[in-house]
Amino acid sequence: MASAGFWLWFWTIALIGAGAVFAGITAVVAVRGGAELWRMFRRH
Amino acid sequence: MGFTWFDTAIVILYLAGTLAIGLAAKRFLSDISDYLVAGRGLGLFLGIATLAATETGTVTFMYYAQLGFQTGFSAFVTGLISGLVMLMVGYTGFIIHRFRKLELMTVPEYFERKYSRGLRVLTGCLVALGGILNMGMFLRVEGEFLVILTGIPFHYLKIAMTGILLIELLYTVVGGMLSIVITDFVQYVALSVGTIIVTLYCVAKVGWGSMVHAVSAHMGAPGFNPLTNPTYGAGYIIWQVILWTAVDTCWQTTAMRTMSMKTPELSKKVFGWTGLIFLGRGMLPMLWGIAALAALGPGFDSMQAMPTLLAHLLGPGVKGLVVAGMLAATMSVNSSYLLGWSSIISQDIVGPLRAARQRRPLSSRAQIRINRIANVFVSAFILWWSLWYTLSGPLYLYLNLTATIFLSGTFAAVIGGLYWKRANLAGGYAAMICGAGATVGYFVLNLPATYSGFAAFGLAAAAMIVGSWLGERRKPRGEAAYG
Repeated sequence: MASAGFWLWFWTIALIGAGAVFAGITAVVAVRGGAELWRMFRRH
Repeated sequence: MGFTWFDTAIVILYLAGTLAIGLAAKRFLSDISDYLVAGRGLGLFLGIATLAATETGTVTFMYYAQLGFQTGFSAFVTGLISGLVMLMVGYTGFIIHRFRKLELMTVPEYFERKYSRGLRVLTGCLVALGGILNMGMFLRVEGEFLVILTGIPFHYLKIAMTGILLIELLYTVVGGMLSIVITDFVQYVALSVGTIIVTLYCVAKVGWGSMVHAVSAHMGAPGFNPLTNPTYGAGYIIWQVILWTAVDTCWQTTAMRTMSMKTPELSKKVFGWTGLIFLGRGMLPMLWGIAALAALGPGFDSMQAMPTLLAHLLGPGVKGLVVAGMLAATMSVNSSYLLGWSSIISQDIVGPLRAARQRRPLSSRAQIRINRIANVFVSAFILWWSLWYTLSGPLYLYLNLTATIFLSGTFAAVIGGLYWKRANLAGGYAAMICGAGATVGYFVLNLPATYSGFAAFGLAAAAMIVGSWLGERRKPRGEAAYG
């Protein structure tokens, strides 16, 4: 089970990293993407 | 706790809003380029939103949660590969940079430029077959998710599936890629918020300790170590790296996003950022599956476990938000896929066949009309297939293998065409036929998915090399013999 311990730590760190990045990018894309969409339609 | 009137109101408001936005996009539509690749006018953040939303549907949450439920933390290796491979494709610009420079609308279109019209049509047929069979399981899985989460009696499943299909068909047919880009943005935000809410609920209510204990008790070390887990292993990891590289570069709906960007450089950036999103897109729903294992036990139906857990876990209002988020995910994926596979039929089968019969090229308006008709036929087929086909084994592997029908050969022929001077038409045909043929091992002979998938990519690559070599020797008699 020693290898299971290593993998549990590995996946815990990977999961926290992936979750944080997911939330962060969502916030940025929501704000900046909204502005981009607005500009795109003003051009039309 | 049931689905309250408040939850229903949230979902109805969301659906009405999305539908109105999609239909409003119609007035911005001027030609086939607007319809299929949004006039090649997407910037970085809209590009990220639309690429992530296109490849993240309820079906994604369902198959990843199923993997988490069945194989524990080891399943994370699949999410990790999907994100890291996309990151690398974005960093290097492998294939996507050259594709965007060529200003294509579909992947098979490249085959006519590099190889021949005949290979384009053959590829178009295989892409349409694999893509439509792939999408064929979406409706059933999405219907099951919604029926379980909302508490609608199960005999309304078919009505739920038909309803989902009709809404997405309506705005895809009318608005094309422009409406998809707009709704994708709204849907990306909704589905991401839904994903974060559900993850927090799972960790808070089920508990991290319970999840680790459940995996340890029911699976032991293979529940954590993907190298010793019988579903995975080193062969699976290598196959997934190849498969995801092919998906990121040659999968029609992804490629359409590459082709929609303002510049080739922007395509690379979008892929890099979306790769980071893909890490969470894979791992977070797998965690929901593990939470379902901890809460419901291993005896539960693996596909229905996650929505059953959410139905118990989420409170009023939150449930409505999550269902709206999942409907968002469903519609963004399905509308893009409908458009993607239909565009293959109109652009790569009907168009080239007309040209071969010396008919004058179709006007932009006629191409859009054919695309819309193809949309309707593809929808009817997937509804029938969803009801008829019974899945045996993990959904994720079925989706991988249906994609491999065309991806293995396409990937080999695209790499050959873009990066190898000696690649020729004979190699292209050999790669497409051998790659598609190898998937018979999974669908007919019931061979394990890893073997069939590996064999398909390996055979397609070998066939590309051997076919090109043989084709070169026959060159004096003219390449047209293959076309």
